[in-house]
Amino acid sequence: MIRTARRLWRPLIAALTLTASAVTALGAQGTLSTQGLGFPPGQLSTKAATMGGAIGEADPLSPLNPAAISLLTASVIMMQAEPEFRLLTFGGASQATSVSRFPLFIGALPIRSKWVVMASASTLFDRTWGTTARDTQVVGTDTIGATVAQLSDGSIEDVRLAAAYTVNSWLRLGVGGHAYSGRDVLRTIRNFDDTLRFALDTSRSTLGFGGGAVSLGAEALWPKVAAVGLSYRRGGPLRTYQGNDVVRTSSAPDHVGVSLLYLGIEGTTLAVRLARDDWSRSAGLSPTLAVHEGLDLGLGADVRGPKFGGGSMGLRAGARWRTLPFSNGPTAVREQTYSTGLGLPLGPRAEVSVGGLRAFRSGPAGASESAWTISTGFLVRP
Amino acid sequence: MRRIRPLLVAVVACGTIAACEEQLESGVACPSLCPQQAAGMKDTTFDAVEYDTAIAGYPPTGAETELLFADRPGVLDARVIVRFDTLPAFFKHTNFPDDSAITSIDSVIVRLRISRSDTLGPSVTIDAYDVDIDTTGIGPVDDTTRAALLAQFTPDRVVGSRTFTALELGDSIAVPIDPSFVLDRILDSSGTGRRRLRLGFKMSASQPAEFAVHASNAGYPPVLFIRQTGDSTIQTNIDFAYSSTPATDRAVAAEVADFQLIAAGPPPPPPNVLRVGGAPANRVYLRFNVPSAILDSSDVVRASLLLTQRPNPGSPSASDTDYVTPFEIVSGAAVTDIRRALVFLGFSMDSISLAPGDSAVRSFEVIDVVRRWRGTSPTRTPRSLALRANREGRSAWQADFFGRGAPPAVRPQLRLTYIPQSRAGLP
Repeated sequence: MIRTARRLWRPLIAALTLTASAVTALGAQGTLSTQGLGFPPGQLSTKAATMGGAIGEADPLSPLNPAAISLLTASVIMMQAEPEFRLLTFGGASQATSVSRFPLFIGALPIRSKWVVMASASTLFDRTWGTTARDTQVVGTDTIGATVAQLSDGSIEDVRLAAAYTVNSWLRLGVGGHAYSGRDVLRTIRNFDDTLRFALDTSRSTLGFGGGAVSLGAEALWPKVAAVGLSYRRGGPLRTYQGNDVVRTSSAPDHVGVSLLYLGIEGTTLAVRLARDDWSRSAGLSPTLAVHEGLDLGLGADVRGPKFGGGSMGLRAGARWRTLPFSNGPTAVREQTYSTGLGLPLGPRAEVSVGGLRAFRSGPAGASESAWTISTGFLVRP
Repeated sequence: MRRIRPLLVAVVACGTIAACEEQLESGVACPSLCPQQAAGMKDTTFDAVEYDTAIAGYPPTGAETELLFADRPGVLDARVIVRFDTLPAFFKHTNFPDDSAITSIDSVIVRLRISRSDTLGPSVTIDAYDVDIDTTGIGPVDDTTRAALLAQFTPDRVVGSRTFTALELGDSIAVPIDPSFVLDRILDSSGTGRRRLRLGFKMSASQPAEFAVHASNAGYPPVLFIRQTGDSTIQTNIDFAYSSTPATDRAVAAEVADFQLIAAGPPPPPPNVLRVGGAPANRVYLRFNVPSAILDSSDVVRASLLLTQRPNPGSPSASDTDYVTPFEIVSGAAVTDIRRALVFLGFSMDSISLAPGDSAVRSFEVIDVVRRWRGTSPTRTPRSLALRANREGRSAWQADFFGRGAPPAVRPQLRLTYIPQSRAGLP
């Protein structure tokens, strides 16, 4: 099942099925990276992601710093695809899984000479996962075996409307309003060994998410010297719904980040980024959430490459270190990502960015996970 | 380069789309990294039947596909009724340009196609009776009822007879009919106005015997052969079973071209016993009351109908095993006549093989129908099902079960295994 753009525009209140029984915790979700509320892709464009996220706070196509969008000189539409291929290793056994993501959609429009506005939808948490396990229960005098599959399909999206203003030749300011919207459909499929007496059982529940935040940003640019991007996002309420009922209330995570770019080498950008997200503000959504916080550090470089498509190809590489926000216990999941990519101009009106990200994750109970992510961004200038 | 760009975009797009097939299911790290299993299953057995009954008379008159002949004194006397309500008045004479009126008949036979027989059994005698009821002066009569028809099986109404050895009960039997009787009906010499033949066939044997013939519903109707002369070059008139009454309902008329008559059957069951099968065959009707807390608020994964079989060693074929099958009843609440409701059988469920002389608790798996009751209102969708014998209408085989009025230990019960619903999902 491929997640499509329409998921980004779902209403805040999702449809509910069935009764108002108590909502129970799930405990864990099958892989290291999709625990808790889900996997945070990082809200980075392909270009930023292939540079280790280093330019994230100064990148107009990454919906983190609203001031950065002032760097756009023409209207743009961009979409991004990031299928991920994971290999989980646990107890000497390995299992491969894959998930398709479309983590970013952007539309931006310069207004006159000093203003730029942008609407974007980016994935805050991806809650797509699945597990299959055996279950045996003794009911009366019968021992009943079954294979239980649990599937989750959904996400929490950050829909942002941002505006940036160019104050002067070196300073830009921006502000953004965020609406968090999401839906998660969970299915449990129990397939009994004794198909003659027992019928296949499928249960389904739907959770909705809704919340808001506001972000502020600043960007300073000294051409051919350096650039600095600084952003701060203050999370507002974040709620979990079943139908019209609020079942949990917490707060959206705050975010603060800074990117430093060195532009002193002709055709080259060297960057470093340091960011932090207060994931613990979301702990109220579940009493069993194991939340961890840490710094998100990225290093990256972008070098002008050979001529291509009326412009120059961009050659990118980077590395990123961060702590994933959720695990199933007190031990956090640490992630290292090494990336490389290309920026391919396709004439004056289009550009494709493509790259590969190799991630390594280590977590509790000796579990480890490695993943390849193919990030592809399609940008057009109408 | 300009030509390469669109191709490059297409390749990248296709590659992206092709890479988007998901394989999500991971279980290698379970249970450490997997969700806790849902709440454990619960199991309950309770008296769920709020009403039960057994009704005889199935399949309905005229709906049979086989017609049984049986002579089992004290157990079963099964006879066959056939109607030939259209009789030829002319025949095609050799070398004559026109048809000729029938003025004489050389011979008449009725051929019945055999579906089941015992070629090792005794010889049997088939007698044909005139069962056409003269309603002159007595008004309309339902001439498909047992009482009305049995009254016609008198010695003075025999119009044909033949004895068959067991070996002759192979493909079909031909029963001769008195030609003068048939001619009288063709010409209406008696002035009755009834130009038709309505025959009742009765079997007798020196030992208990039974066999069956195909009915019209099976595609092999009884056939009437009328030979006008002994000249074999003249074509024999052939007539198929056909009923012209009731004139106001052609569908019913088509059904009663031939049908079964049970002159005598097994004794009825005692009170609080539900009989399936027999002759005429019984169907059992069961209506359930299942708590909404289970049916609507839980996921039922198993449903077993527990019926205690009452031994019936005096039953015909007491040691023969056959199947009893539960069926969903698809008629709605508007059908209040249970006899009629038992005609509307939907899908069948797990059947049980048993012998009438045995006794045990029989478990019928009925999960499919119980799940269909979920979310329904019992006042609009009765929660009922039927039990039917596999040999219904084709033998006197029958099985007895204790009903809800029996002692608690042997009453019908419903066993449900279910999973209480929990709306899981928060991490």
